[in-house]
Amino acid sequence: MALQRAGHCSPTAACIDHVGQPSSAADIVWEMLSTIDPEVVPHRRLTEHAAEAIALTYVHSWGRWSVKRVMNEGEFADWLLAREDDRLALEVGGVTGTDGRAKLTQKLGQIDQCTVAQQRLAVVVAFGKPEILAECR
Amino acid sequence: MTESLRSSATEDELDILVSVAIRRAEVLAEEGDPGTPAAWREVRLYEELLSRITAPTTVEGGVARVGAVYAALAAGDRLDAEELAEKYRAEGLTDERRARLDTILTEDFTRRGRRYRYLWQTGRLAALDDWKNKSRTETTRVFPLAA
Repeated sequence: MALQRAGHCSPTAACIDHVGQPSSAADIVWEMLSTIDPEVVPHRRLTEHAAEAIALTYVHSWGRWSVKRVMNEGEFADWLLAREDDRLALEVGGVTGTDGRAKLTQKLGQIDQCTVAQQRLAVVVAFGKPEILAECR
Repeated sequence: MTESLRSSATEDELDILVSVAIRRAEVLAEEGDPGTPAAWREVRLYEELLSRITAPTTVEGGVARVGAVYAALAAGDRLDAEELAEKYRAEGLTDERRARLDTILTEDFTRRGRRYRYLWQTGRLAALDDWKNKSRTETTRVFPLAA
């Protein structure tokens, strides 16, 4: 829904800008909806949930991380991910436009305060391009 | 889901249950829904069950224990939160998790101090907790019901 609302059709190519990793791209495929009623899902929540879906898929594809659980508010991370005995704290954000840099900086500020897991990652999805921005801490 | 089923749930099942419960509680809280405290009590239940089957020094064990205290505070059950915090500290949490517990308890105290300014200024914020606790366990009322 969030990608369609931004004017994209399935499949669409997303640029991946992951600090420390070579630039790459990925096709995002979804079941197209014939209509999008903005009243059904609030604007902000739609962006957040769509960003989480894409971020979790990306992180699994990138590092084989799987979802462990949602984190409580106040842990400065949205998700706890697992890969065998390793744990990763993930903070996710989404923007409807094309520039996700400011949002990534904000999310990095949050994940920097997360002390529960040694490995931490912030991912932001900019739906306008679309683009996936990621940075490890 | 019955209490016995919840008690026999595996860690993976509880991880799913607590994740869904947290998201529901957050949405209800955002919308100011009166069901918010009950939603946070459900989160607390799952976090406590996770705490029973995870070691306090593991990442997931630490997250669950702090999560149980956080959920109790979010539900407005301050005394329960303090009891849980004391119990978990005694179990041997890591220093990082102990610090996190202290932080969320302090933040909650400060938040309530701002909300109930007079009680805070007169040092009677604890009396509010006592009254809230009694009102949950007994049928005490501010005004007696008409006969």
